[in-house]
Amino acid sequence: MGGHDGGLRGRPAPQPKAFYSWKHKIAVYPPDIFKLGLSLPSVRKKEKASSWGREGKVSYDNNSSSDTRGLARTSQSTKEEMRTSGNTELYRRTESVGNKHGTVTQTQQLGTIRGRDYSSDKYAASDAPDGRALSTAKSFTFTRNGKDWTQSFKAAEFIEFVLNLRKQILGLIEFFKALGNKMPKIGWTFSVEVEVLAGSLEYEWGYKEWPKNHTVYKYYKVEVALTLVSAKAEIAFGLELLSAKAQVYGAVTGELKLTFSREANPDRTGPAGTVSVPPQVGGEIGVRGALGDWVEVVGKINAGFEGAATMELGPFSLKANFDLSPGKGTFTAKSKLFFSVTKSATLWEKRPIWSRTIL
Amino acid sequence: MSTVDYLNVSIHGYACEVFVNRAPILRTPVDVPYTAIPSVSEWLVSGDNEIAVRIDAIAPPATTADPLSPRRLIVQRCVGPLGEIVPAGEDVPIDGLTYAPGPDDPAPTLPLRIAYEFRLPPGPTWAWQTAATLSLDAATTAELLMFLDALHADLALGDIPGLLSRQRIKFAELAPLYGMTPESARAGLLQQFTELSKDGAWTVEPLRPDDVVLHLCCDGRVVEPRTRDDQPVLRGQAADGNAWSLPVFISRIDGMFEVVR
Repeated sequence: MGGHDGGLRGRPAPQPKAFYSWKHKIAVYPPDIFKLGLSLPSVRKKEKASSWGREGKVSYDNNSSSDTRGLARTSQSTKEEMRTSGNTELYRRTESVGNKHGTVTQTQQLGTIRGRDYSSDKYAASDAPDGRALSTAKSFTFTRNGKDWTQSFKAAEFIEFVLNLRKQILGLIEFFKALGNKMPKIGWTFSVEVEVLAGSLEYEWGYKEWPKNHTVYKYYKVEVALTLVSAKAEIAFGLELLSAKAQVYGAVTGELKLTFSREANPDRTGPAGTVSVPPQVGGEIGVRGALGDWVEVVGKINAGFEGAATMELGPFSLKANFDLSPGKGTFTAKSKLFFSVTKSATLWEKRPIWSRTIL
Repeated sequence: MSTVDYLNVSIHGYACEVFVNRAPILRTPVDVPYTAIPSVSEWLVSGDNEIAVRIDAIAPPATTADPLSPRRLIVQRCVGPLGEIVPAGEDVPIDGLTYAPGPDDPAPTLPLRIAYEFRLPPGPTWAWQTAATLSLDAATTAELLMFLDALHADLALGDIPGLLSRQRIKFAELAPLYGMTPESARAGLLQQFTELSKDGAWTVEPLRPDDVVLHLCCDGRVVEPRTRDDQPVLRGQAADGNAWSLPVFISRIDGMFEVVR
């Protein structure tokens, strides 16, 4: 640099900023990636009972079965007893579920003893009182950065809902039995079969850095092919319809199933990921009256299952509700000699089966 | 114990009309399953009989098959105890017809009529079997509408004796089939009317000739009047809020129109 500049002598000249100061918030985020895995063979709940009204006649109907299925490394044995005499009916079901840690025996009784309704539900455990918890917990994997964190997962709530489901199914049986007993001469029969949580669910979540601009976003990735619940109810019972006796019969099915995969994409805008599906339903219900005048269904009897499975992806939750919808229809009693009468009627009211947050 | 002849009908995926000896018994919707067990004794005759189904429409194939509600067309002839419920699945068919085309069969030309015949031993001869054969010319149609108008007036006025006087043949022939005498059946109808019209709350839909379709059946010996949407023309609301109807089949007997079924 040649010459001099006397105006600036003695003190440093203000310099143009060589570097702009910068301030940038560094987000310190937990780099852990959590992963929840649920891979379950189905937990199958199957209850059957049948009866034909024979008033004043004692009848016995005992069934036993042994099964090894469902949760990994479990064995299962079932014994059913039905005793009927006069105004007493007793249905007892004893089921033992065991794994290498122990056995839990559940004894459930439903009945009418000398005209009074009776029910009980008892558990007895051998060896390991938490055998059920262990057997179910084994079906979960919960990892943090690839390491097993399963022990921190509280499976108790999950198990509770499985047991609760069983109670609801038995309640459903009791409900149809009560309907059928109003017309004992027609007799009743029913079969309820419910399968829960068959399939697999993998969910990863945590925080990740978006390489494009180094921002951090909530990461998730979900892959699910899970039948939350699949139910089939076969029913036949008598009732009074349009002032005449009639038989309601048929079978309905419902299945709540989630099948999809999705991964968080920070470029995507819009609402948080929510997947909600209604149940797929099938089957049909019919009505028939006594021979002579006859019953015609106008349109269709609305019966089956209703509800929804809802999976929220950020944050994760899995909720489901599943109910037996009310049996409703419009019926015409077609008379040979009198006036025919058309009426809308409810064959049975809605029955909840379950409704809760699963995970 | 008296027995009754009935059809065990189970149809899904077909809009049909089911006939016994060319008398219409029931119609099925195309889109929902239909099951029923109508009694048909009063339409069966000595000797040769026929059960037929006319298929008017076929539902498109379902995207997913429902094994508990499959496509089917089954009509079975059965006999069972009058007044008793035969539980579903316990019907004992004597004969019947089934329509089950293969998946590769070409679509049939509609309407498609399928039928089968069977013989019965000698029994009563019904009035409709020997009734005059009708042709629905203008004069006959006008006369039938007048007869319907008279029935409608009986109902609107609550004149049950008048109504019964036009149904003598029906009550005489059907009451014994269904466990009654004509007198007890008439008393039963009067009692039912009293209940349905309690407190004067009984209405009768207007009879609109432009909405009446006369269906000639049983080789022209019987006429069934229906509305354009296949409802009975004689119908209304009862005191309890339910709908009532009186389906009628009319024949000309000894020169006069009569309700025969």
